[in-house]
Amino acid sequence: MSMYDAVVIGAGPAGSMAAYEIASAGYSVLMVEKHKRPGLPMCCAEGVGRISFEKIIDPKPEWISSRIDTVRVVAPDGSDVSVAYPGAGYILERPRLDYDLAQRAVAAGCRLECETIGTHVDGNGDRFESIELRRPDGERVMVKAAIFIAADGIESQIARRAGVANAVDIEQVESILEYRVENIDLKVDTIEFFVGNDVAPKGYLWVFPKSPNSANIGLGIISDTKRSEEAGYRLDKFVEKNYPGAVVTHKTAGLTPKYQGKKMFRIRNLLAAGDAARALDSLTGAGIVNAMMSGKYAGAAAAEYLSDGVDGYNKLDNLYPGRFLEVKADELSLYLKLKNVYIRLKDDDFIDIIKALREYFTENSTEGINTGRLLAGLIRTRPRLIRLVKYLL
Amino acid sequence: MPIMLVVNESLCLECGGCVPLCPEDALFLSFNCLECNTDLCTLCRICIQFCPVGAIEEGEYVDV
Repeated sequence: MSMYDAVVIGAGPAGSMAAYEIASAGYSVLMVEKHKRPGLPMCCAEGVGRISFEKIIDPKPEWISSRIDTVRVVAPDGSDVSVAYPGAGYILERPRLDYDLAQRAVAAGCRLECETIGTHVDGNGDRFESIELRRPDGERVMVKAAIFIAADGIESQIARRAGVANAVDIEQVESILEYRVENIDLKVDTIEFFVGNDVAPKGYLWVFPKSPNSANIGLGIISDTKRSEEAGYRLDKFVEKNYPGAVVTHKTAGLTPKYQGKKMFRIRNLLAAGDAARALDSLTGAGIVNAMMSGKYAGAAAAEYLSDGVDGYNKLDNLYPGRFLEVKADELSLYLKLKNVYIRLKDDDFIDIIKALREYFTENSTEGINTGRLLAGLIRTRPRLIRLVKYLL
Repeated sequence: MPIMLVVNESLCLECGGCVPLCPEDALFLSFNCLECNTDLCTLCRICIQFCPVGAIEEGEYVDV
């Protein structure tokens, strides 16, 4: 049986950041990836906030498809607010980013095995000691390690079978459908969100420009009916109406699970990162930066654990998810609360909120924006929104 | 004939979104397809409701 200090499952942004940390610290690490190469197939809207992204890594130009300076939100009645926000974010080229991050881990000494699935971890009740790996020809092998990192996405089997995750409640999560749309004209520096129960029930629709002639256009919806009918119908309708002549070249889908707190991040010596740990912004579904960050913290904690600097799980817990959540727990919890408000908004609320935002940004810039103050201002000017405050507490 | 889940591989985008929704842990995203463990599946149909492209259907099991 082969043996490593650490095994990382999944070579997405979370896994590659973790593997890089462990390999850089001088430990042997095996990273396995289900697909033929990291980054493909792409399953993402590719948007990130610039400041939080650059805090984690210095971006290479080839990772960036477009630079976003304006955010536009469109209400159900067609009224809108455009907020000038220089340097707001990037629309990434995820296949390239993922590939490069994996190669960065490999260059640091990580061994990468593609077309390999981690199925489950085994142990003695106190500690996981080995992982079963499966290859396309059906071959199964066991690999021993001292610590394991599950970075295998929302579909993580490793975390669930180890007892970290429970089933997600469908009433709480959106079904997502996204098209890569070509042969259109759009402003390459502007991201757009369309809200309202006609365009995307309990969710929203986004237009993220990839170039002046192409975009990721997608929506997330919650409904009690068979969602394929809703999602496909509404997205097709939007694209046909707004972009006549558009050509859909690629489709992707997904789900945005909700942040579930600390319990999802660790069980014994198995750390979960990224979507596998539900480390994402529950309001927008944004997950890239949180995946990279949680992966980085998980990798650093694993390296410290391997250095014998960690003698028990309490100390490991302080490192991960402790240090990650010290930085991110408040934000992740706030977005979850905002989501609980968001799914209760009616079309009139959206119209009011967008009007209030338009007024706010006529007088204020995005510099020093204070979410709390903005929300308080909204409720002061739109008192009927007060019914939703209880969901923020 | 028993009813079971059938994955339409020409529609499935392999997003894996249905996997964490399954209360029985019967769904598994394998190398190039979604697999359903019919021994565990109770036909609750949550995955059918979720799937944004309608790739999961109910079908009749045919013993060949």
